[in-house]
Amino acid sequence: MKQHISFFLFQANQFKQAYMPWIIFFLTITMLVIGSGAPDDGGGAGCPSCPWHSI
Amino acid sequence: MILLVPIGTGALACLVFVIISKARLQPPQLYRSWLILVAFLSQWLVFYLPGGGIHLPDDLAAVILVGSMTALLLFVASNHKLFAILLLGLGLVLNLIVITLNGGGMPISPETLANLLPGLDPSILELGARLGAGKDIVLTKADTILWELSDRFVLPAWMPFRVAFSLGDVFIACGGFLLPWAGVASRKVEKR
Repeated sequence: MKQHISFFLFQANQFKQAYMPWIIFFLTITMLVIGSGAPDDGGGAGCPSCPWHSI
Repeated sequence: MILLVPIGTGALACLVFVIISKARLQPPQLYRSWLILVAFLSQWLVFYLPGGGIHLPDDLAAVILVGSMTALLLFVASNHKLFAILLLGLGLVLNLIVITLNGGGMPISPETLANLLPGLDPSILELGARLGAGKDIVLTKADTILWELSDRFVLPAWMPFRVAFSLGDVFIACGGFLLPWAGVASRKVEKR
């Protein structure tokens, strides 16, 4: 059991080191682009099924 | 949604390039990223959260928009060494200028709205008021300061999205496309 937990923690740490910087980077640039832009879809009428209106 | 397309295509193109060229990928160091989080969250609450900012006074929404975009500008200034950030920053400045000069909202003319939404009844538009809960305000071309920088372009009818956008949005989209490329290291992986 202890070995399984150690292995899981090791894998989680590997994932964190490999991918977390990229996840944070893409979240950051996504927020930057959305916050900087101001396109308009007519109050959502241009994309009625999309919850991310006007983004 | 439309501004996420350049980031996605940029990331995809970057990935293909890295696989072909065997270049190294490393996310670039960004400074003062907390400014983005603060700016985005304030905009999210006011403009994007369903029903979030619809009851907010227009003046307060304008202050939040200009304030959050100024915070983003500070982030751009802190990371000006990246070309993609500079390009995006240029678009941000253009948007911020026209928004500030026109009372804190991105101007959109009734003509552009009619082009965007062909079935729209112009009589329901209130000039000088926010368009729904979004960042835009409805202003005639004559009443708009620096109309050239406003939301005056509309995507072609054959495209799946119907969106009006500004010149600043074009630079922001270009910056968004190039941003994933900032993670490509110039040195190739050495073969062992």
